[in-house]
Amino acid sequence: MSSKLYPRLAAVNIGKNKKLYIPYILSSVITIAMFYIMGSVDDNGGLKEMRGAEYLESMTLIGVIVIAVFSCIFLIYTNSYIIKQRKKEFGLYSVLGMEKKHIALIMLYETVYTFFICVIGGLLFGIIFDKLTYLMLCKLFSFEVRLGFHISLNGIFYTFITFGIIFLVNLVFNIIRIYRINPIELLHGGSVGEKEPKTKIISAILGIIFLAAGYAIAIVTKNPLNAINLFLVAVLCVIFGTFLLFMSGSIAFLKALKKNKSYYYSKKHFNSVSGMIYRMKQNAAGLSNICILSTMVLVTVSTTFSLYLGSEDSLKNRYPRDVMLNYYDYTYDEDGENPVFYSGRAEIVMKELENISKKEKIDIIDLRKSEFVSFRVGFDGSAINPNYSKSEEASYMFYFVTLKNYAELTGETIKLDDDEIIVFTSGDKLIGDSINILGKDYRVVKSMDSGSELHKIQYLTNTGGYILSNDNYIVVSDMSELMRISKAYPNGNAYDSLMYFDLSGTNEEKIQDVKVIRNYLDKSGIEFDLESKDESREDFYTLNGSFLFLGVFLGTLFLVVTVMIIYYKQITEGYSDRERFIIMQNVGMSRQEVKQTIHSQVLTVFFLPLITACIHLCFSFPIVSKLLSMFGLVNKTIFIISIAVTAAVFALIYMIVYLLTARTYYRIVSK
Amino acid sequence: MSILTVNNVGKIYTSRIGGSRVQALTDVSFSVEPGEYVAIMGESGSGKTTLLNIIASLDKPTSGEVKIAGQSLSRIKEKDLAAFRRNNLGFVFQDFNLLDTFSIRDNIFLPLVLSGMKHDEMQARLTPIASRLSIREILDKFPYEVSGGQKQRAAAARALITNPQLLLADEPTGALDSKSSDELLSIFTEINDFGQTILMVTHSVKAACTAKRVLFIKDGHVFHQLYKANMSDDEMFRRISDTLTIIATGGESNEQ
Repeated sequence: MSSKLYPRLAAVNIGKNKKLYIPYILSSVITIAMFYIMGSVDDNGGLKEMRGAEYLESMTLIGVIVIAVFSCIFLIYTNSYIIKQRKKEFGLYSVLGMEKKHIALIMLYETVYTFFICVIGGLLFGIIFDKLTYLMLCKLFSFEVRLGFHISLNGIFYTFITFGIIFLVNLVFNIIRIYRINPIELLHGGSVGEKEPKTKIISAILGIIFLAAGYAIAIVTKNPLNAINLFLVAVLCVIFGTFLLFMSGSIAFLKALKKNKSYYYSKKHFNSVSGMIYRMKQNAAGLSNICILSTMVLVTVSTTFSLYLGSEDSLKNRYPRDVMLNYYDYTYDEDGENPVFYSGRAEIVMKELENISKKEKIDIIDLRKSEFVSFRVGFDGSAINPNYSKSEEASYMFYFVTLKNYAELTGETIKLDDDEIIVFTSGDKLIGDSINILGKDYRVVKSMDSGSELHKIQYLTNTGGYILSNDNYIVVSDMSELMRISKAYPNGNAYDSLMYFDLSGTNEEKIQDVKVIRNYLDKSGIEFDLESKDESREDFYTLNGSFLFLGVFLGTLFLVVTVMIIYYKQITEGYSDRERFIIMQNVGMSRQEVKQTIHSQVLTVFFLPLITACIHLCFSFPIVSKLLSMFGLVNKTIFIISIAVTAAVFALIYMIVYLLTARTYYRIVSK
Repeated sequence: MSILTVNNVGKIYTSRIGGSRVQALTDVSFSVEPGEYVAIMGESGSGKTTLLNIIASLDKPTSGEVKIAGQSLSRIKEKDLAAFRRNNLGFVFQDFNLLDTFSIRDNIFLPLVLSGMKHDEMQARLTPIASRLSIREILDKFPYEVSGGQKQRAAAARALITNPQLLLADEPTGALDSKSSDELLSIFTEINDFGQTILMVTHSVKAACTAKRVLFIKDGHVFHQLYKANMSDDEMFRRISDTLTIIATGGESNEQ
């Protein structure tokens, strides 16, 4: 045989199977383009110079990894599907006298062709859209747009390597598959009767347990810090549960319906129940994939959108006032070990601020001083132990503020007796009804573990607004209680104070004012730390914008993959339904009835994943809103609106995809 | 009254691209009386499957008329056609046409379910048919688990369970081995003896021998017919073979 035969055959094969290959190539091109764009953003020097770019960088790295793993799974899945459909063709080659090594050779050529088509197409797309993405990012983060064309050689290199490996793995799989099967089997590949699936009660029950566990974790988790780790556990539980339930639960359910004779043997249900049982087995994996992917799209996009939309809101929570000034109201003793109270620094700072205000005509509005006591101690749930083992895990941070300071900031009107306290905790050991603090028993009147108040009370101390594990914030009745605790603490000074105030003017003017104030304080030689809401705004938008970018990007990727799986499913079902369609007509079902049966069945199967995804989304709400509260987003309305809009848009896209693919399906069926 | 009347039926296929016309049937007329067992024979391409499809109301003639139980098929509305087919006709196909998604039992029940019958009644109808066709043991199996002969008997059961006026069979022995063929044909003879009217299209001379009358179709019209009457199977076999030879040689001479 001429050596040109194989490359030519391979090219002809791809052309002849274009119904299978065009979507495969298209989706590969899209995933490759996305991979390249992510890699290129990660590699873009221009972005690195920008403020807050480090957030973006870590996001894009995550993005690159997720896309790589995902493309791998997806392309292997699609490839195995294509090869199954083409079994007959390869069987024919065998019968016509081709040896397996020749078939392998054809496959090699096919893989090489598709690889180059996909990678070159993907890179072209990637390079074109890279610029667009870059501009979009700049807009999103209000970066200054720098012109110039950027081609990431690293990006191209990694694309070749990653997808080269994926295609190679596919080729090896295909060749192994061909070698393990004899030609007769290949010839009959498509037509082997599918067995009716068995009911697997145990895995159905396991599925329910997994799903329930995932949901329970999502609902029960109260602590935002635990939420991060538990969220992953919940996600895994739900993924397992979904798979198991789709695989066996659906079949168990349908079989139960089938046992009910008067239900089953009716015109409406007869066909659809048996058809679904049959179809569930073939498609449970595909359906659960669609379901999980849809859930991922919905959760990522809605979460990142609400983070971005809620930026202003979280900024307000994190910084209740415009400027917070920390001036370390203590110094260290001669040994340099124990902190000692430095009286008078607050007065110096106050004077300096008055001076600045006068000289530079800066309005310093509503200046307040917050006084607090903080220390790291041991805690057993009922009493504080100042002499603890110095390990981080066994120790707890305690912050004390006065009711007056707390009320000034929050505007809350609460009364506390000498021995009453309010407790905010982010730690794993929740304070009970009472606690002994350095020799005095206090009664807990109110206890909170999240929400905007937690962020506000942090503002009264010098924590910097980050929720760390094992932090406890306690509001005491008045200054004398605070002083008592401060004095009772044996290991040096625990007292500190800070100031916060507002500025007037626009955001830009406030940033200017902050610069001036910082300048003056630098010159005065006071040790200080100044946090400005307006300076942080940019950081907030960059961080949340990075999240949004990643969310939308991955959301799009997941969506593309979902669409592809749906498309392939419709084609397979079309081919297998064609015969049923004809037989049913022959047996005395009208064309209309057949169409209705198949339509309602396909519709159910099609929208089952979407509905399940929406249920997953609802159950994810409590835990995801806990996670969002860590980022300072406590406004649930924004989150709910994001979810609703995302779900609506997604459902719309899903519908359009369904209608488009359903058309292809009917064309196949009624041929 | 005849169960089936075919009056001057013609069928011309027009291809979608190019508009070339193929005459499948020119002018076919015959009728089938209650209790008859008629076989239709002819060469490949003689139009016998087209004729069967028209009688089954799966296809429409371009000229002429088909009446089943006195009712003209062209007068029945499109949406009632399926129900009409279900209630009056039973089908046995060469490739069985059983649905893989149903057990044998459910395959047989399919037309009854479509007619909205109660489960108890369906079961009551199935029992005698299943034992007559000796498929009782395989009722709960699936089509891919049973042999070709069993599949065809199941298909026959599905055709008979509606008590059709007319049983239509399209090459019913075409996909069966000789033993299964014999079994099926003896079942056909038996149910015909019980009064079931049968119209069978076949290639097989042996199958045609079991019929009481054989129609030969050539070039789109009825060329000849044979009555079995008191003939033995062997004699019938010879007569059919002779007729087929005449058709074959006649076909050659036509081409000259």
